[in-house]
This record gives sequence, structure tokens and C-alpha cells, in this order.
Amino acid sequence: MNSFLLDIRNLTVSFNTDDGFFQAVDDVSLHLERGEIVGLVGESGCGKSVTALSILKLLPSPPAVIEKGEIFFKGQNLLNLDSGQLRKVRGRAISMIFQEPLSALSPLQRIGQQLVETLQLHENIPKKEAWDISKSWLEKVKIPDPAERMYAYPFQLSGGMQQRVMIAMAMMLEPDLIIADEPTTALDVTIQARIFKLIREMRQEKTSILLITHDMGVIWEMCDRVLVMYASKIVEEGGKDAIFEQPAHPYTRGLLNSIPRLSDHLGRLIAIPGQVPSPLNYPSGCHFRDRCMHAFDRCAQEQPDLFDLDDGHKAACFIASNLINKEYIRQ
Amino acid sequence: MTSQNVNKNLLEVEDLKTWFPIRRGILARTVGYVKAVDGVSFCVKKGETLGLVGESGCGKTTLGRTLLGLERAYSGKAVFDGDDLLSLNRFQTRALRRRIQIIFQDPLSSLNPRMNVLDIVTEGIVAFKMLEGTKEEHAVQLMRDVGLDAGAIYRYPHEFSGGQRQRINIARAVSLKPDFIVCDEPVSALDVSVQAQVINLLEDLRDKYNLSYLFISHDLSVVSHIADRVAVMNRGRIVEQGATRNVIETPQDPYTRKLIAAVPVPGIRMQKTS
Repeated sequence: MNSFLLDIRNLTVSFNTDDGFFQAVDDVSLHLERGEIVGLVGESGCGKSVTALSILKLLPSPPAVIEKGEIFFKGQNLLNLDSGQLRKVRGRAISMIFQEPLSALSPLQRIGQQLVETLQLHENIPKKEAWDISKSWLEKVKIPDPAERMYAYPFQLSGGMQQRVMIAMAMMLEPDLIIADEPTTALDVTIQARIFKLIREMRQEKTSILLITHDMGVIWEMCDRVLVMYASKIVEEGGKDAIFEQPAHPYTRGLLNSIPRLSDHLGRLIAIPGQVPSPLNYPSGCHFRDRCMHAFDRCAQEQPDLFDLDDGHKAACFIASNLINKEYIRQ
Repeated sequence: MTSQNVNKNLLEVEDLKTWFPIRRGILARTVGYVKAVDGVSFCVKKGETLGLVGESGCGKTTLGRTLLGLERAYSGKAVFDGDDLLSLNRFQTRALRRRIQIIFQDPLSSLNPRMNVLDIVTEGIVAFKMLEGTKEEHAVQLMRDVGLDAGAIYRYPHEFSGGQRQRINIARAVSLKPDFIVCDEPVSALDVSVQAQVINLLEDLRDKYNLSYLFISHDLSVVSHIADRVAVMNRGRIVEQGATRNVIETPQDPYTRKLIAAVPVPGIRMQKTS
């Protein structure tokens, strides 16, 4: 076996809906080493959240079907576990931070109750002790008056505070891996900065994080390695510096160009033309080809595979090795 | 920016307050106020874009809504081309409704799901009796203006993607040839790769029709691209305003500095605070 903490191989997930059958995740491979922060970046509907939810088998089935692939966590294939075994992994070894804390927390239970429940589910400790541990975690995530907040309902807290509770809950059992699915999308930029600072401090280089986001800025701030996803496929993968300094896939290059930046606020934005295609009718061949300015005949006939460009830097584009050395417009 | 009479103020807002009363007890007596907008002054010139930035709850949306008459102001002045928006009667208000338009954040909920695009974009034209020729002609022209397929005018909002829906909203907003458009977070709900298209479209339309925008957003980097001037709002007050470049490069107010420091910018390593 290898030393990867999480190793997803050739995962394909499809959905059978009233509108038709489609693949939301198509042959995605992804791995995380211990202590690593890996970013999975993409637009809505590209399959990044489906990938994340598959890891803990949190997708409703039907309509979702995991067609193919393996998800190894510490050498064990999670997809083969039954629900009882999975429950021991969820929260304990792998925990999740969701986008909307208000809908992820129970509206009917006080914060304290929810934290205690999580602890007692995995550890055989008396309620009193669980209560004290929970309170100390609220303190660690810098919630003012933790003793009092234990009695608060989620709706009584602000969005930033709710997300802190989620972080406390996710970290309380000291998991090996945290999957953070757009953890700050619902928050303001200043709160976002504080939450990320908190996550960085709390994990102390030990916990691995799979960070799912649509925001290249967040990736830049947080991640060691990046995977770019577009229309159900990984289109580019590499170290942070490689992705930002030498992006090779036209989509990554377009995305980096289209982000408004404070540093050059007077230029016109370079937009990617067209719309994100619907998963029900992706174009043949390369999914990005009808928005791509470099597309040629071969792109319509064959689907490009991810191939190695450089140490750990991969891209799924026929002309990636030409593009990588061309400067993309804005740096 | 391309206007000939750039120096004329189209909108002058002076010490505007929008306070919401807090009522308690069986007599519903007013016991206090939520001061959503608390003494705000600014002006917008013809053809100019003023960016309004701030975090959620700072009052920026309430300010925009007050200018449109969707919220009642508590006190202050908002002079639009000579008329005080806050002291108009019903008929005067109606006349101004044509000249001041709004684009909302959520492109789907701001379009009537039971109307097709043709009716949505021409509803205002019919109501204001500005119809020249057929509705179809108007609609086709508007679709071209916002970069949509003119053949799609009989389709319904749910058949479009988020970016296209926002284009329909923009088409409706410009259909009455307004002078001033309040853009309330117009790209926040859109995909990253589509945001740039919509921002560019808004810029093109501004230059083509000599429009003025109040561009409201929580995202300073988006605002910095479209706005000539920026006003930073915090807790109901404008803490800093000035030319975009000055505000971003040499922010004076600590809150502005905090806001700028918090924006993650790819390519620039932020100094870690700890």
C-alpha cells in the first residue's frame, strides 16, 4: 500500500433523475498525504461537492449511484464499509464542515447538547465530562462566553459564530481528515479571514484538509496542492505555485484571468465566453472545448486524459505542454 | 466616464437616514430605532459609477432601496436631477420610477416565472406607453444589447442559466432608458467564469447609454473594477469615500484597511497576522 491518507481512484458517480441520467463525477482520482491541505476548485455543478460527499457516502441513493472507483482511507476502502462501520469513521476519523452552518446544525437543540452528543457517540465518557470538553472547545474556537453559549440555539448566533461551532464540532474528536465544503462562502471577507486563521491555528500541521471552494483566492491562501475541476472531470492538478504561475489548462488560465483583482483595478476583465454546460448534455470530447479559444478538431473527437507535465503537475489538454510555457495574460 | 457633462451631479444625497422603529407593548409604542442607514452623504455624477462596499448588515442594500422608494427614509435629502426623491407625491414618484432602475442579486427570484422574456423586458415599456412598433421589435433589440440570442424571447426564466437570467434582468432595467441604475450585488450569485462577462456587459451599457450606477457589493475586488469612485460603508455610515485608486491604494480609515487586507488575492502573498 502507499502512504496516502486518502486515496480516491477513478471515482465515477452518476445520478438517475427525472430529467435523465448523467455523470456528475467522471473518473476522478485524488489523493491527500498526512498533514496536507488540498484544494478542489470549480464552479457550481462541476461535481466537487459530489466528490466530497461520496467520501463518507453521504449522497442519497437513489438518485446517486457510485458506478466505479475506490476510496481508500488509511488503506481501507470506505465504499465497502456498512453503515455501522461508516458511523465510526464519520466525525471520528473524517469530519466535515459544511457551507451553511445554520442548516447543518440542528435548529431544535442547544449548541451544548449537539456538541455533547457528538462526543458521547464516539467516546464512552459521562455527560458532565463531555460538557466540560465541549465548553473548552468553544473556548478554543474563540467564542466569547463559552459557558453561556452552550445554552444558545444556533439561530441566536451570527454566521461567523455558527461556523466556529461547526469547526469545534469537526475538530473535537481530533480527526485525521477534515473535508471543508465551501466553509466560508456564506460569510463576509473579514469573517472569512478570521475563520481561515482559526483553521490554520487549530490543525497545527497535523490534520489534513480537503478544501472545496470556487474561490481561487481562498485556494491561494490555504492550500499546498490544487485540483481544478470542470464539468465532472479533473482538468488540472498540481502544486499551488505551478497552478498559479504556470497554469497549463485553458480553463485554469481563463479562470485566473477572469478574477477581478484589487491590484489592477482599471483593466477590463478577460471573461471566458459561454456558459457552464448542463451535465445532461456535455459536449463530445473535451467538456471545455466550446468555451475554449484553443480548441481544434481533435478536441471534439477524443477526451483528453490527465497527463504529466512536470513533477506532480498534470493537465487534461492536448496542447497543455505548449500552453504551460506561454505566459497567460495576467500574472 | 465618456460623458460630455461629467461634472453635473445626477444624484446628491445629504445626511440620509433610514431608521426602522422598534415597537413594543400593546400600544406598539416606538421604543427605539434600528439605524440601518444613519446619516449618509454622497453624490453620483452623470455617467459615473459609485461603488458601495461593506459587509452584510452594514446598510448598503437599505440605502439602495431607500433611493428607489422601496423603504421610507427617516430624514435627509436625496436630490435626483433637481427633485428631492424623499418628498415626492405619487405622480412624481411614478415619473421617476422610469429613470431609476434596479438590478437585484438573485436573478431567478427577481423574474416572474410565469412571464416569458418578451413580456418581462417589455412590461415597463408598455406601462409607460413608450412602445414604438411592436413589443417583439423592442425585445429583440434589448436581447441584442445584453448579448442574448434574439430567438429566445418566447422562453421562460427557468430555461436560462444564472448568467443569462442576470442579462434578462439587465435588459429589463435598461428597457426604459433610465439615467440611474442601482445594482445590488448583481454578480454575487453568479459562477466565477460568468461574473466577468456580466461586469463587462454593465460597463459596455454604461458607456453606450451614458448611465450612472450605484454598484453595491460586499466584494471590493469586483467593485474596484467597475467603479470610478468607491464609498465604504460600516454600521450605517460611510466611513471613507474617494476615487477607486486612492481608496484601494491609500486607504485612510482602519475599517477600509481591514476590508482590503481580508480579500484573498491570488498571486500576492498576504502577511500572515500570526
